[in-house]
Amino acid sequence: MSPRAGLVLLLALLASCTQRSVYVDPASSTDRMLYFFEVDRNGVKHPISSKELDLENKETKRVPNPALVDIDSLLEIKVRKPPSDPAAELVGGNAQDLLDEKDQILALMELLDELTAARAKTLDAHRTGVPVAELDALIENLADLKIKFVDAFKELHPKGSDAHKAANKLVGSGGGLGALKPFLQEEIDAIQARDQAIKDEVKTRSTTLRLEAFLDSPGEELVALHVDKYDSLDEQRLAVRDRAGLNLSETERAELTKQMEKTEAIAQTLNAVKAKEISIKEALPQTLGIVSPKLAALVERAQILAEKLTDPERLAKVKEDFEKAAQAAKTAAEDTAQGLSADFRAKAEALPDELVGQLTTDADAAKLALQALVKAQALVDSWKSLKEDPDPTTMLNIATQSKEVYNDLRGSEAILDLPGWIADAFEKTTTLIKLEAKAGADETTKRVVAEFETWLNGPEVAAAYEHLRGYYADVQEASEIIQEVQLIVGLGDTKVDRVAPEVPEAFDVDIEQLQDTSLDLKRVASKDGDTILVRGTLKAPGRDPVESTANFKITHYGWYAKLVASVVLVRPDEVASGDNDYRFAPALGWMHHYRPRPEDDGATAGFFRPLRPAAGIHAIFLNFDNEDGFGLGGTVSFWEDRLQVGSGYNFSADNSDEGRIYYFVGSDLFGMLQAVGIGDQ
Amino acid sequence: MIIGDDRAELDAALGKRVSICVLVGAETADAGKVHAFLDKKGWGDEPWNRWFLVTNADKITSDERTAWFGGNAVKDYAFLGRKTKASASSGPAGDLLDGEDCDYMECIKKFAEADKK
Repeated sequence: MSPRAGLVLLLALLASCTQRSVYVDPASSTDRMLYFFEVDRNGVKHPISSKELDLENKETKRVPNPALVDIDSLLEIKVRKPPSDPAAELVGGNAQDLLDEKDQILALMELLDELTAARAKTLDAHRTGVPVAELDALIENLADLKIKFVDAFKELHPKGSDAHKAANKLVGSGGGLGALKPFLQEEIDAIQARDQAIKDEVKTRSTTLRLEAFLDSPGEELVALHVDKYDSLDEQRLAVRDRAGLNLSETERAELTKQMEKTEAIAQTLNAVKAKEISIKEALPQTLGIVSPKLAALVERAQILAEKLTDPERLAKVKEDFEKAAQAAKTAAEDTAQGLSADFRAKAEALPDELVGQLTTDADAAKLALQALVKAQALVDSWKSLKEDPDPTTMLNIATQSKEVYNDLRGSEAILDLPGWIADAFEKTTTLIKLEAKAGADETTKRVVAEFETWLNGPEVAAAYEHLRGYYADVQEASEIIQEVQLIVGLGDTKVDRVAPEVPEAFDVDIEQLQDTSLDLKRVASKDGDTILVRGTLKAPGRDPVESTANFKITHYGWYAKLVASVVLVRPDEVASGDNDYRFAPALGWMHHYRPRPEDDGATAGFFRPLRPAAGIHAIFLNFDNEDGFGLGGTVSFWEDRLQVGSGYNFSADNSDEGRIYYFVGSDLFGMLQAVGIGDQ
Repeated sequence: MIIGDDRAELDAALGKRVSICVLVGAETADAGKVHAFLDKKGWGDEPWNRWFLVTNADKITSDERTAWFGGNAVKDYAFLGRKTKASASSGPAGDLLDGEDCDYMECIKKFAEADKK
């Protein structure tokens, strides 16, 4: 292996194994409304939305995209109100003023009732005659109430105001202060009506927040998750999960069984190649079929389509049709262009070529897209090197090629716009004709317009368009393949590209009623590498909704163990026949890992973080000297089991020269393939 | 009541346990307007409230002018305490008007203040 290849390999391995949390700056008001932090299974809080946990201010300084979170943790979501809001201002402003005013008037009415009662009592005492001191006390109490009332009334309705004038008129009309009671009642009624009007207005102007969460498992449909207080979805049941990796759920058990079967099949295929029982050419599609039957089928479909679309005869025919159409247009233009402006003639003559050019460009784009698909076939060829050069460079080649295919396919999405381009080209033609018809309504122009219309509806254009439609149908099929391949090879990508649908059960919660919430990941049936997507949508009246998307990648922090199916190259220490060469074998390891949290910065974390080591025991199916055997031993792995070395004891060997001790080097084949974008779940 | 040359009614009131509003000026002046409004009765006036318009300023003694109005010529109303007959408040009669109408609530308040004295 060359030093360059070795370096690139190391980088590739590190890139696929050392995933880190990624953050972006908050860009929208919705981003700033959501403050995330993680509570691990021991109840320890870990910051997400800020470097240091800030539960007092909850100021969002970064948006996870994605942040790694432990599979058994609780994702707390603190929801802050946006800094300003028209409806809130309405409620906090006018509505509050009204409320204050109403309270003041109610207090006045109460005071007036008290005053009226006190006055009646005082007048009665004055009329009937009571001791002077008693009458003085009554009069002075009444005086206090009057002063208090008048001051309060004038504070509400200052002298000079209409209300003040109206009130004085009522008082002077013979009712005294008592005449103000219906006046005050009317004021309260008016306030209530205004209050109701404001409430109605608030309803139509209220700003709302919608919170939706999804589980994004590669290769699966997005699953909406329950967000407490923000939707009516059922709460998920606690997921069956064992950090020791032994108590498997039904799905996990089925998955592991499938992987073991596949590793065994691959080992057998590779051993058959080694024994020259089958050729590499036969073995490769077979191997890809085992690893990723879906991808293998797509590659096959892509090959057929690519041949169809890059068929030189077909392309020549399409071009010829368009040239014929162009020529027909030119002839029509020349025949009828007498008397037209030079500018129009030039434009008219250029149009058919422009149209042909446009369509040729599209054809090229389609070709490129399909060629990218054909590159996928090169992946198959790369499996050759597994036999010829069974060192890690092979893995590197596969990794690089898959990424290339993935990128090419993503880049070719533009071909999906093909029908739009066709429509534009035709639209251009007709628009020009219509413009010219308006500019000069003479007979010549009308003739040209008629000629162009004849041309557009003529057999040449019809034939060209028919061919193009057939071509486009193939391109559409290709685009479907692209999307399917993207779904499969998008596994290593950190960005969530899929558009999460609107969750019908989600509420638009008024921002006055916002509440904090959380996502209990223990209730989410996720696995390492899955993504949790939390989407907040702020809807303010008269404005476009503002979305915020936070992504969380599921991982394991701390200690955890898992069962790992691997394909290994194993060799006996000693066999009587002397055939102690490496051979392929399936192995199952129980590997113990430790992943330090991002904030851990001790020596242990410094060792574990870059190397991602693990240690465990393994069971292996052996075949030395055509004798099937079963071995047990120890394994040490690096980079999340991508590279494994181990040694063990063959229980089927009676003597040391029957391969009692063996060694191996191998890889967690499926983890690796998934990391580089191949391999069905 | 309008007090012209005879202030007997005023003096009688000054001897009773009533609060008094003394207005000084012509009937056409602000003081006269206020007096006319108060005379309409039923605005919240009490049996222990009296109001007088003194059209002949000479009928107010110098001591009374000083005690009731603080010697201020601009002031043409004074509310006198029910028990003490000391000035509870005083000022220009225009302050007791509200546009073209009487500021009855202000008058009620002034009388109430005087009721306490």
